[in-house]
Parts: sequence; C-alpha cells; structure tokens
Amino acid sequence: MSLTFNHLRIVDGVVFDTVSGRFHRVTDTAAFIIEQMQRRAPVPNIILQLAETFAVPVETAARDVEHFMSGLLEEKR
Amino acid sequence: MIIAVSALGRSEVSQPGIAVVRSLRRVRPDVTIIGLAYDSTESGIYTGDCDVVYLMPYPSQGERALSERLDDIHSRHRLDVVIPCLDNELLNYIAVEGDLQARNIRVALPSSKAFHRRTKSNLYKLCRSLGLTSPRAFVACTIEQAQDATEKLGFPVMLKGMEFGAIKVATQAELVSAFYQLNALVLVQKFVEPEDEYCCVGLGDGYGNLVGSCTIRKTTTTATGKAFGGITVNNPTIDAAVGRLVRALKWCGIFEVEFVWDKHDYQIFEMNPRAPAWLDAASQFGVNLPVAMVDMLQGKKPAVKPCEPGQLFARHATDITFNLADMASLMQKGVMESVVPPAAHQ
Repeated sequence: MSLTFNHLRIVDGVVFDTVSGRFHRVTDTAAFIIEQMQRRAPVPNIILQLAETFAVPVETAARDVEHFMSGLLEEKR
Repeated sequence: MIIAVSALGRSEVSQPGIAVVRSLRRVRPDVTIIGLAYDSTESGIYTGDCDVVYLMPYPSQGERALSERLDDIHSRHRLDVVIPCLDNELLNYIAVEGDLQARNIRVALPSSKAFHRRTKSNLYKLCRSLGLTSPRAFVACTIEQAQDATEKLGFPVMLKGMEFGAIKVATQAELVSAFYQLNALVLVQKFVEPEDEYCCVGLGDGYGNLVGSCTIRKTTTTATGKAFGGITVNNPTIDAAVGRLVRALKWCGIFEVEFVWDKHDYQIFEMNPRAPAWLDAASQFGVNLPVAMVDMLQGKKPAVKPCEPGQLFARHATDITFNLADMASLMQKGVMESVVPPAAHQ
C-alpha cells in the first residue's frame, strides 16, 4: 500500500479526508506527522524531526509515529 | 428566457424546485420563472422566487391533462424550457416529450427505458450488470413473497415502499406490520449497516457522458435519512460508479445517486431521476447543474468545473409569511401572478 496521504488536508488543527469526507481534530504532533508524510519524508526522518521539534525522546517519537500511521492506514479507503 | 419549474415545497420534506430556481437566478438573474405547483400550500410559491405560479393537475390525472395544462401556460408565456423535478411526474413528461419539442419547449429527460432500469426494483440487477455493488433486493406483492425474501436475505432487512417510506425489520412479526404499513407492495432489501452516507448529484448529456457532478458525505440527516447538511468529497470510487451508470443508461438530465459505505464497499442505494433538494448547495460550490442543463438544451457545450472537496452546507429552516389573498387567487383561478416576496408584506 502506498504511504502517500495526499487525500488529507489540515485546516487549523482539523484534518479532513477528501475521499471519505470525515474530519477530526488533531494534535500538533499528529498534524506535524501528516505534513511530513505528505512531503514524502522517510519515516526515520519523521521520527527524528518529531523528537527534535517537540523535545521528546526518539523512542517516544517512534512509538507515536508508528501508532499514528497504523491508525491512518486502517482508515484509508 | 422563460423557464417553468415544478416541486416548490420546502417544508418538512424538501422538494428541489426552489433549489433549481435559485441556481438559475444566481447566474441568469433576468430569467422569468414559471412555478408549477400541485398544491396551494407548497411553501416555495410564496417566497418570491417565481414570477408566476400555476396550479397543475396531479400526476395521477395522466399525460393528457399535463399536456393540456402546459399548452395553456405556453399560450400565455411562450415557455423555452421546462424542468420537472418530481419522481412521480416524470413518466408523464417522458410521454409528452414529443409534444413539447413540437412546441419548441426544451426539456432534459431520460428515456423511458433508462427511467425504469434505475427504479428501486431494478437497481440491484442494473448495478450487478455493471459490476457495481447494491444491496440485494426482491419485490414483494404479498406477505408470503416478503417472507420468502427474508428467508433468502436473512434478518434484518429494509422494507421500502415503491415511491417512499422505509422500515427496518428484524422479525417476522415486524415484517407483517411493516408490509401493510407500506401499502403491501414493497421492496425487501438486504440491510446494510451504514458507516457513512454519500449523495452524488450529476448531469448526463443523453449520450452517455457526465457533464458535471458534485458528491457530498451527509453530515446531518432528517428523520427519513435525507441530507440536511453535508461536506463535499473527491471520491474516485463514487465518481467511477456514477460515470458507469450514466454511460450505461445514456442518462439525460439531472439525477442523484445515493451511496452507503459499509466498511467494505460503496453500496448504491438509490438513483433518483431528478435533482435533489440540496442541489443549490452544489451550485453555490461552483457546480451549477441547472445552468449547465439549460446551456445544453440551447445547444451550447456546458463547462462544469470539478467540485472542490471540503466545502460544507447546512439547511437552515426558516419561517415565511404570505397573504391569504395570494393563496386564494391560486386556489380559485389556478394562477398567482406577481408573486410578492415575504419581506414586502411588512
């Protein structure tokens, strides 16, 4: 499955799925991960960027990215 | 240009006529609108959207009554286009289409065959023939046939009236009650648990091409499941299914296809042969299908842009006031001229 998420749009802290029409509030970290994925950044880079930007341990960032991406993949139609 | 439009009610059950009128006026403010009403209580008669309103014979009176009434109106106004917007009047319009053309009145209608192929009772077969998914369904004229259908489908099922009404049924006892409540001619349809519901309004050119479309996910529904609010989407699966239907039916005119997402598939629930009540939201989003349809009828090649996803609408019900004299004129003479907008009453 492709890991592009160009069907998602972030508008002032709300993520909108242009295919399903669903929208949810998202945290700053979730919005950051989506934006990085849309730029096609490699996952290890996203983890490092997340850890640096939000001042969290790399292990925590890795867990967050993995958890968030698997949720997005489950919802992707 | 003089355009006649039917289905003017915007009450609890909203009809699409006023949405068509507002879409037209948004681009062509100088158009003259002739409202065609079946009942003097249709709220859109009194909103000032129509220049003149005529009472029409009920569809049950048949095609000849329709043709004679349209002749009468045409002799006074020289109609250019008629836009019928109710399911139960369309077969009469299809029957008199030749008469209308002979009078130089243009109308965009599906063929009789296309109209019948998308009815509730034929939709499953149509979708199956096109490789599209739709809940399996059986027509039942007797309670025994309805029971046979539930044995094949398993409970729960949806019992649907041929024109309107739908009841979820989970037991044999509920089946009997619902069957008679829906006037004993029903569609027994496999129940699908909806996770999301979608509607696509589109315009077919009669040659198998989709001129334009706009799809929404319903964000708010009425008690009967009609869209009362929505958000536009860009859904390639829905677009492909709609394109396939339009191509197969060579659909001419505005239509609406309803989908349910059941976590696995986009199931096609209905194909309505006319504009939906939320049509004017699509027009406000830039997908003005009534204007495109009139352009098409005038021999122009209409250009409709794709609908941008993420645009929201909500229906905002409000109260209007009107004069007894206006209603009396319509009831007594069958016509109400110089429709006075409600604001002018104050």
